Parts: sequence; structure tokens; C-alpha cells
Amino acid sequence: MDAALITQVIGTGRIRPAAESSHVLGNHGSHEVFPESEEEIAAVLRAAHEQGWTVIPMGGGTKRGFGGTEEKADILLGLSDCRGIAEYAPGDMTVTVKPGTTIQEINAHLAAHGQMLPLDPYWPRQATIGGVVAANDSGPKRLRYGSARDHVIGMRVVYPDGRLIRTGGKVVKNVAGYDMNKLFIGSMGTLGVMSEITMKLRPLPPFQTLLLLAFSRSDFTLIRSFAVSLLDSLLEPVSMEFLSPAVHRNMNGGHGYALAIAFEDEEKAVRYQEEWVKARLPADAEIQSWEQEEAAEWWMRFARLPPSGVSSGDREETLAVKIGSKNLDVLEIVRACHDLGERYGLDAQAHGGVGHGITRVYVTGNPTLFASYLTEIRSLAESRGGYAVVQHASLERRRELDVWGRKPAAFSLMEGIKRSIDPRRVLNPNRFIGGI
Amino acid sequence: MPAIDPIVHELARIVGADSVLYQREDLAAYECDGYTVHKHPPRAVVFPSCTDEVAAVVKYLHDQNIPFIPRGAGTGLSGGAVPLGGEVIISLVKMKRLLHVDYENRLAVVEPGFVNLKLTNSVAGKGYYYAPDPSSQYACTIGGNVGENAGGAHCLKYGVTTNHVLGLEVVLANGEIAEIGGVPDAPGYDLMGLLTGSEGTLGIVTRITVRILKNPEGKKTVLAYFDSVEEASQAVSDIVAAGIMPAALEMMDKTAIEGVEAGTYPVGHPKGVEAVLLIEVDGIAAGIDDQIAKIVSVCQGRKVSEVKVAATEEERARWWANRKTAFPAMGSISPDYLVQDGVIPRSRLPEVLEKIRQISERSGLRIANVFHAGDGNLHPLILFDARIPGETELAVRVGSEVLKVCADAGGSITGEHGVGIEKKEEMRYVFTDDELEAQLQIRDVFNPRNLLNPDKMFPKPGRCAEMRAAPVEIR
Repeated sequence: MDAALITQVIGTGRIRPAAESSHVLGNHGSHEVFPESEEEIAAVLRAAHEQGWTVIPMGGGTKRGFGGTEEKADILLGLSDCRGIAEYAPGDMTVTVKPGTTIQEINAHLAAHGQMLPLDPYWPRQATIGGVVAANDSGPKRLRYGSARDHVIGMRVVYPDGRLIRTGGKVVKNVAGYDMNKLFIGSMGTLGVMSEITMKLRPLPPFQTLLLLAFSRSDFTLIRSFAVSLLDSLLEPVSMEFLSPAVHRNMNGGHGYALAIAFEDEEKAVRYQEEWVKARLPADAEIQSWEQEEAAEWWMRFARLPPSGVSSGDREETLAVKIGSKNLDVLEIVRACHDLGERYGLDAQAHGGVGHGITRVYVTGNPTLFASYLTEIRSLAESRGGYAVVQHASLERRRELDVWGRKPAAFSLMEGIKRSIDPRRVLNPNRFIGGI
Repeated sequence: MPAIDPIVHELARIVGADSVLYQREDLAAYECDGYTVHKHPPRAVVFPSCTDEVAAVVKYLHDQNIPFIPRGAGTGLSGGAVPLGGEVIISLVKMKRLLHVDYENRLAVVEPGFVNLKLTNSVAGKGYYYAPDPSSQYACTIGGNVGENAGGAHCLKYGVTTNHVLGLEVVLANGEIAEIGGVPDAPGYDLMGLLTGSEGTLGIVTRITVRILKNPEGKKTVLAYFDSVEEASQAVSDIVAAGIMPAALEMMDKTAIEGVEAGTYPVGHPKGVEAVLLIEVDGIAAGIDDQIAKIVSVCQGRKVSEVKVAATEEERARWWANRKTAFPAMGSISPDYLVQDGVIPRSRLPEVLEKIRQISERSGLRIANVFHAGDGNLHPLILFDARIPGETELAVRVGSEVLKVCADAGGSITGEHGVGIEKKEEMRYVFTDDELEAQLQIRDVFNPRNLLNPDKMFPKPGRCAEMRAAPVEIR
């Protein structure tokens, strides 16, 4: 690309030559551009569309190792300067934020009004709302609160040719036209750059606790029947995250599998639910509990388990895989992630939501074994109607691994959508499924 | 007697002769849906009984360039299933089986013609239910719910249809069958999210996997009467600000109360009150009394004239029957009525209600307000008499004015009824040409010949490209 041209569309103060010529995670840019407004985002994209440049949008950079086989694009579009709360109406329980705002920043702002973003993605201090929505990230509490597609009600999106499109609206219920929000959630920045996101909120729960049930005998029949009875009960757990022995050890120095059950409600309701669980503990289970700030702190540590694109060194040779399945298949998938790790001599930390169907595993050790490990996990997931997607790996590994797995049904519609919105493949080329 | 339309034989070949309607008197029932202002008979109605038949019918119509409309129970309120262009109607009512319930994984698989309320009834024995509960749930189908992204009184806490659909089998515009979703966060663009609420313009769903929920352990319902709409509206904001997430928060104004009390399920609302709030809280029983106490105290802070908690399940059910039949009850106080469906940020309620009152005064048409106050979804019922020349048109105009007020307050022209034919032009109140074009681009990907429910959802003249893409009329 002609570097001089970019200075004509955006002030030189917003342009930085790339600090390093390459990045071990790829998804880099020859030039790093940091727009401060929607107009500046549009100006960059318009120029890219006209000049045939490629652009990789990035928020906090935590998901830099997620998808993509390109070393670099012409432009790395950093959105960290498009940050802040654009509009907050506590009475409407909605907030509009700019894409580069971190999850922690948003929640700190909302907490002052007794509200929260009902989303618990990983690395909340670094991860930005734009990145979280684009990658559709979510944590254990989606069991109760849902994921980005349940909370995002409107967006402003800059299309790859610089057009500005508003999707949805600012009200919590809206069926005017197609639900275009859904198009961008989880689209890995391949269709547009979000310049504003409006979300539904929830009140901060008056009280919260965390119960950690440790199953020292790893008796899966008992674990399963306990999980089923809890899910079939009238309790309303916010999370029921099943932890592999390595995660359990890492978080609490414990042994064997464990189940992290959270309750958030009026204190009386929380206490009642705790008692219910304690009265029905499986024979081999030991219980530990945390409440209020301590429970929140436990979850903050939990949110730092996966590898992040901005943490240094030792994370580079970590493989992270997200597995989607039916709810209860999570038990078996977490176990398979652990057992396979032992068999391959890899350290595999796995956890998954019994009740929401998302499992994650973080693998370290001899990276030449990652491909076989992934293949085995993927074939197990697929045999149950699920999938496995690589969420983090170095560029070198991603080029060897099949990041996204097989093309889904109706892939031709997805290709059609990409072709229609970004015919020149400006945004994140080859980042997404099937080479989109 | 006119010659039989040649497509009838072809359709009958696919689905059997007794599953095609084509005679004028049989078609009359399909001239409109729950929106009755505009009517037109379809070219034919076809009743497939399985996915393969739907696919074969669609493929045939696609190859012949004949436009078509999927239809469920026909309870839609925006005219989405009205064959204004004489389209062929593909009715899904024969595909009405509950295929599978998996309690452990909390899901149910249904055919599109399965009635909403039947799902809840089918799983109630084990303590489960299906959350989206539109007022027409005793009749409307889950396929139609997906088409409209239907809501209901309880979506404040539990969300609308799109939050409960886990997977779809869909017949695309060319007759291909595709499976979409099935597990959470399925890789790729969220086609399921796009299809839900696409009003039959992107595909025909033939199998739906939905989430089922466990019944809440406890549930309590409060009725609160206010002498001013303003105070009632403030109470709504205060309840939310107090950190309470009610399962439902409904309001009716004086005219609406008059209607429901004259209807089939009167509950004896006192005379002269300006507004009533119906508030429901559910969840863990141990936590509910504290929430009810907060609600009662909030209402008292807003000069409530009377506030009471339902003493029995029977009383609670009566209150809900009274509210859920509010639309038809208007028939008792007016020969005709038109339901609108605007949405506003809930904090703007008092100001918007005042503007609606002014519109009513100016037009001389009474407007009853029944709405989901918690999520700002208004249902102004415009009362009129179609026998008086010009009054139907006036009612339609008044409806559009009300939507303009909602849009100008930062809201939307439809919260759950859809755009259909009714609000095509009002789409311009909320979207720019570029934004409408972006949506049409998506339609072109799914439905390139614009054969699936054409001329719905988008204003005319849409654009130059729309003119080019217009299907050849074969009549």
C-alpha cells in the first residue's frame, strides 16, 4: 500500500508505524491506525475500500490469536481510542458504549447506579466490548444471563466501504426490519466495524455466593445425577461450571473434578439455595463457599485462565479450544479434554457449563501434538452434534491447524453475505470460517 | 365456471388433491390475517405435511417464478400473511407435531404448526414451560412466532422468541433444506438470528428446536390502581430503579379498563381509576416477599390509590385473563379497533402518553392504551367505526402518527407485531435509505428473486435495484 495516502484520510497523529515488524500471533498491520471517532473509522475504511487495502480491527488485543492465517494486513485498526460511555439511561436499563471501552470500565460505570452488563467474558480489564461482541465471548454466567446475542439491542456499524448503518435501536424490544444486530455478533470483524453498541442491562444482584463442590473420587455417575437433579430442581443457579482437575488445582489447589455453582439473588433466596445444595451433596463431594466480594474475586481470577493475546511469552504456545455441545454433553467433553491431555502428555485445563453447553480447554506442552489433540476433541464434539473451534494459537500453529472445522450447512449463504457487504474483502480476510 | 389454475394440478401432485385449496369460497378465509384493513385472496393455498413436501412446493414455485407466503395460524397483527399480490399461501398447520422433548438438555423440537400454548401444556407435567407468551398463544403457532420474533407479557425478564430458539431446519427460497444452529454459538454468521423475525421473507422454517424453562418456584402478582397515568408511569421507572426485575409489568389506562370490564373477563377494577399496573415477580420463593414489599412501597410513594397482591392462583389467573383479552374486549366498547405496537424508552412513558392523548383529542378517535410498560412496548388501541366513511383511513393515519411519536422519542415502530404491510412506510421513521438498503442486501442473499413474501416489511418504492429484481408476474 501507498503509505502517503493514509495520511490524507486521517491525521498523522493517529498513525503509528508498526512497533515490530511481525507478531507471533499474526493479525498484525503494516501500519497501526487509531481513529478517535466514527468519522475517522469511516474515512479509513472508505480509503481502504477504494485503494484495495486490507484492514484488521482490534480492540484490546486479547483475541489476537483467534482465527486468521495472515501475518499482517495493510492496516491494523486499533479501536482503543474510541472509548467511553456514549449514553446511559439507568431508568431504561440500557447503555450505549463506544467499541474500545473495556468490560471492566463499563461495569464500573454501571455499578454506581446499581446495574450491570449481564455478560462475564474473559480478561474484562483488557477485553473491549467491541471485541467481545465481534468474537461472541461469554463466561460461565451465561447459564442464567445469556450471551451477547441476548443483550445487544442496537449498534452503529461502519461498513467496509465507509457507509454508516444503524442496526436495531435503543429500546429493549424491537422487531422493525431484520434483526441486523445478529449479523455482527460473532462475525469476527469480517463485515463491519462497530462504532457504538447499545445493550440491555440488569440490576446488580443484592447478594451472591459461590459454592465449589469437589468430587475427589471422580465418580461420573454421581456427578451427572447430581447435576441433572440440580438442573431439574427449582433452583436458579447463575453458573454450574464443571472444572477439570487441572483448573480445580490452578484455582484452588484442589484435587479431582469440581463444580462451581453460583447464586445471585435476594439474600434469603441465595441462602435457601445454598441449603438445598448442602442437603443433597453427593457422597464423595466436599464443599467450599465464598460470598459477596470474595466470590466476585474468585470469578475475576477465573476470567484470567485462558491465554490472552496481550499477555506475554508463556501464552504463545498455548492452544485454546472452544467446544459447543448440548448442555449435558459438557461433562463428558471436559473429561475427554482432561484424559486426552494425560494420554498425550499435555497439560490440559478444561471447564464447561453444565446447562449452557460451552466448554473451553487450554492446552500447553509439546505443540507438535496440538493437531492430533484438536482432531480427537473435534471428532468427539461432532459425533454429538457439536463443534470445536480454536480460540487461541500462535500464527504458526494456526496455519497447521484447522481453526474452524468443517463448513456449516448453508455456508453458501454466509459467503453470499460476506460477498454482498465486503466484496473487496477489506476486513479481516481469511479470519473466519471457510476462508471468509 | 372459470378454468382451474394450472398450478393447482402441480401442487396437488406434490401434496395430494385434498391439500390444495383453489376455489374462490375456500380462498376467502385466507384473504387476511389478524390485520383486516387490507384483503386479497391468494392464488391457492397449499398444506404440506412434511419438510420434503414444503421443499418440493417451494422448488416448484421458485422454478415457475411464482411468489408465495408461509402462514401459520394467521393471528399476525401487521398483515404479514396477507396475499395482496395474489401469492400462493403455504400453510404449515398440518405440520403440527411435537417431535421430541429432552428435559435433561432443556429443549423441545416442534414442527412449525405446533401451537405455542400446547408446548407449555405438553411439558407442564414435569414442571417446565415455554417462555414466549404472546396474547394469542392459545392459537398462534411456533413457526409463526419465529417468523415474527413474537414477544409477550413475560419477555421483560425472559426475552422474546429469538432468545429461546436453539436450532432451525429451514427450506430456502430455492427449495434447498438447511439445518441451522442446534448448539450454542454455532460457528459462522448467525443465520438463525437473521431468520427469526424475518416475517417469512428469508425462508420457511420446518422444524424448530426451542429452549424450555423450569417453572419458577414462586410467583406473585400485584395490582395497583393510580389516579394519574403520570404517577403510574413513574412507579414503573421506580420499580426498575429499585433493582427489581419483574417477570411482567403491564399497564392499562382508563379507556382500556372500561373495555376489559365490559369484556368477557371483568375483574371488578374500581370505577374512575386512570391507570392500573399488573406486576408479576417470580423466582426463588424465599426471595419474593422482599421484592413484593419493595414494589408495594414504591407504589405507595407514587400515590397509589389501592394496591393488592393476588391471594390465590385462581385470582392471579383471572387478572391475567382480563389483561390478555384486552384487545378483543375493545369490541365491547367500539365497533372496530386498530392495535398499534410502538416501543419507547420506558423513562419517556409520561411524555409519550400525553402526546398520544393529544392525537386522540385532535382526531376525535378514542385511544385505549394497553401495554407492556416494563419494556416500553405500547399497544394503543385506536377505536373507530368502519361504517362511517373515512373513519378507517383516519384510524390508520392516527396509528401512523402514534408511531411517529414513538420513533421521535428514540423508540421503534414495532415491538412484537412486525412490519408486515401495515408499517412498511413507517420503516422510514426509524431507518435511513442506506439502512433499508443494507437490509434488502441481506434479503437478496437469501431470497434473490424476491418470491418469498414479496412486498412486505420494506417501503415502496424501495430502490432502483428493487425494480430490477421485481419478479415476472405470471397470472
